[in-house]
Amino acid sequence: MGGDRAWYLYGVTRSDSLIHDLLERTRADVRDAGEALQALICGDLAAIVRPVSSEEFGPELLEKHLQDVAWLEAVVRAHNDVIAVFHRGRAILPAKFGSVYRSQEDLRAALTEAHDALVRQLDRLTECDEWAIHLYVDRDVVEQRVGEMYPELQRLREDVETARPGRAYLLQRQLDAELASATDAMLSDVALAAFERLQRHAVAGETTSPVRADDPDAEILRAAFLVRRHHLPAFLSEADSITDAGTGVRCEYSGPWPPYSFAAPGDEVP
Amino acid sequence: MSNVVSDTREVGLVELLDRVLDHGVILVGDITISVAEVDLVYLGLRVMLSSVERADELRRSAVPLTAGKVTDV
Repeated sequence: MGGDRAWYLYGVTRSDSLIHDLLERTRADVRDAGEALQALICGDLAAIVRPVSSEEFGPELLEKHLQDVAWLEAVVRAHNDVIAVFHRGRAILPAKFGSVYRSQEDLRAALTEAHDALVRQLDRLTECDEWAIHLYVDRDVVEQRVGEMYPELQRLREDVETARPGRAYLLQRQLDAELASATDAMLSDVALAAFERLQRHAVAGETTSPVRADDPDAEILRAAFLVRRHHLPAFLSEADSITDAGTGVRCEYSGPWPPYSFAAPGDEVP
Repeated sequence: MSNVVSDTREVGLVELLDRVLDHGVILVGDITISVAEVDLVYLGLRVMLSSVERADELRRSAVPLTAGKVTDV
């Protein structure tokens, strides 16, 4: 290992008598990163860390590494694997990827400063998982439905069919524009309604990416929800019921994830 | 893709990066990596990987899409 030793932070959890059993289990479960894992205890908190070379995560090498998808994938997967083992047994706040501290003293000082806020956040996240939601629509299906829904669009369509060629062309352009804007409005209603339906079964929710429009099979919503484990059946059945071939809407999800999107004390978790 | 992943090792890279890269607790302190640097990398990667993912999706749906267009004509 070249360079000085630095400390890679995976996450922060409660310090208690079980922490060392969990460390053992993680060492067994996660190859490579696992064996060097340590818990740095600070008050009621335990920071899950492993020693790395400061060179590997230093500015020059890191810039190269981050462009190397294979390196990044390995490190990101190890990051998630370690956090996931803890998450299955207890609440853990995943650290921002790439948090590498020069010394244990630096990390301890950072933990001490945020100690109470981190403990409160861990309490809020107990028995909760993050679920990722993707909502896709078949735009053609939605557009057809919109076209049938509005009488003025139907009238316009009839006018296009009966008008003379020049006028029909202009009317067709008007129809296309009105149909597209009515479809966009419908899609944002669909996304909002789906978000609200899922939110009812979740502790918190947030959208994680902008809408990708003008795409025949567009993703119209990408969101993360924090869901209490005993609400999970209701949440997933809501997600399944959003998928409807008749309306062209498809809801996909993945989870359970550690609470990446809800970990920071600033993240709103009631 | 609707999957309850008891083991998140099975999950695709894009979904994983979406969860892991731009989230998490930041503790102030002497961090060697500039967090902003990771965010920039993440944005660039995401555009790249999303287009790869997108190409895969299109490839998967290529047959029905073409068929749909043909019947429309």
